[in-house]
Amino acid sequence: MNATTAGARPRRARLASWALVLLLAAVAAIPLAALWQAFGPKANLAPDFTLTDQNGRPFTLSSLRGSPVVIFFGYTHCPDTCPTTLAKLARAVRSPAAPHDVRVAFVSVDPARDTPAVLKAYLQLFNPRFVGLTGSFQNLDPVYSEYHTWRQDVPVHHGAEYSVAHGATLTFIGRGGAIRGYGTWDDDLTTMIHDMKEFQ
Amino acid sequence: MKRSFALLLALGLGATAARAAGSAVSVSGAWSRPASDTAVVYATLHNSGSTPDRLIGASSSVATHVGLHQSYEMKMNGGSMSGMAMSGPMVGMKSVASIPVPAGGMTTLKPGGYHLMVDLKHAVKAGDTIPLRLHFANAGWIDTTVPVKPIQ
Repeated sequence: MNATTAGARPRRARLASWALVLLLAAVAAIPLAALWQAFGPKANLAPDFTLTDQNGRPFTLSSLRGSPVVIFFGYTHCPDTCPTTLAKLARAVRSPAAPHDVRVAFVSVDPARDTPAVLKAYLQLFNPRFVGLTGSFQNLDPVYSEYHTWRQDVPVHHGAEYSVAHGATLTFIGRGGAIRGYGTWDDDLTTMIHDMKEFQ
Repeated sequence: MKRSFALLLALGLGATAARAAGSAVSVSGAWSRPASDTAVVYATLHNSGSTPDRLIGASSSVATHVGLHQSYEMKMNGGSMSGMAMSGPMVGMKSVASIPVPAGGMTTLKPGGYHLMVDLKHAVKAGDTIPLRLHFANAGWIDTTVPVKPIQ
């Protein structure tokens, strides 16, 4: 050991510390969100789609980005399970415990009867802020497929009447546009509110 | 005399629980929701008699048709239907020829199960009532009035 080397060692250590500080500062300058987006696990982004809303205007799902969204498939001539589910969703949305900006999108599985005007009158009964979506099967089929749902006409009692069997999953999309979780039509109110919070 | 009879009749029809004179079958807690085309009726059917009965039909002056229906649910976890990937539950409903009401028991028509599907002639809103005639195999016809409750 001599004086020269003994003096160089702390200097080098000091330089190394400064380099580390600079490096950390540089890393901190990169928004964590951007890092997460670039290198984090790939987000389970909700497949985007454009359909026709209850006002007859094109509506793109990703325009709701920034708000949590619940997607439910159904149809207006469904007397039992669809209104039961929509009534619960309407109550859940009204609850102070639910995120204040949560949105509900109701996608028709029966576009032949669910015109925008029919959807509009129907959703007024539950919550006029619910988005009702319809379109041609050409536009709707890929949406059913991407959301792993399914529909089939079922003849009922008389004449040309039919009911539609359909998937009854609730898909919860977070503010970032990723699918965060799933529920089902017969979840109770508490579960729906919980899921809206959990998956926002 | 005639007027008091009419009053009694109106009171009888207006009551929530309906029972035909001398019948073992009665209806309670009937309710419906606001709807524009297709309304629902839920209710509890009671049978105090010692023989089973069944609801075999229904009609209403505000409907073109009242159907006896049953909703069902299928779990489709990861399955495929008509070549489409499907997961989660699927719901549907079917027409049924009758709804059984066991002897000394009851059957509740409720969301997700048995219900009456009412094809409306015109929209019904909260506060309206739906006049309903129920046809039972043994008890015959029972008239009841179904309140349309607000969605809440």
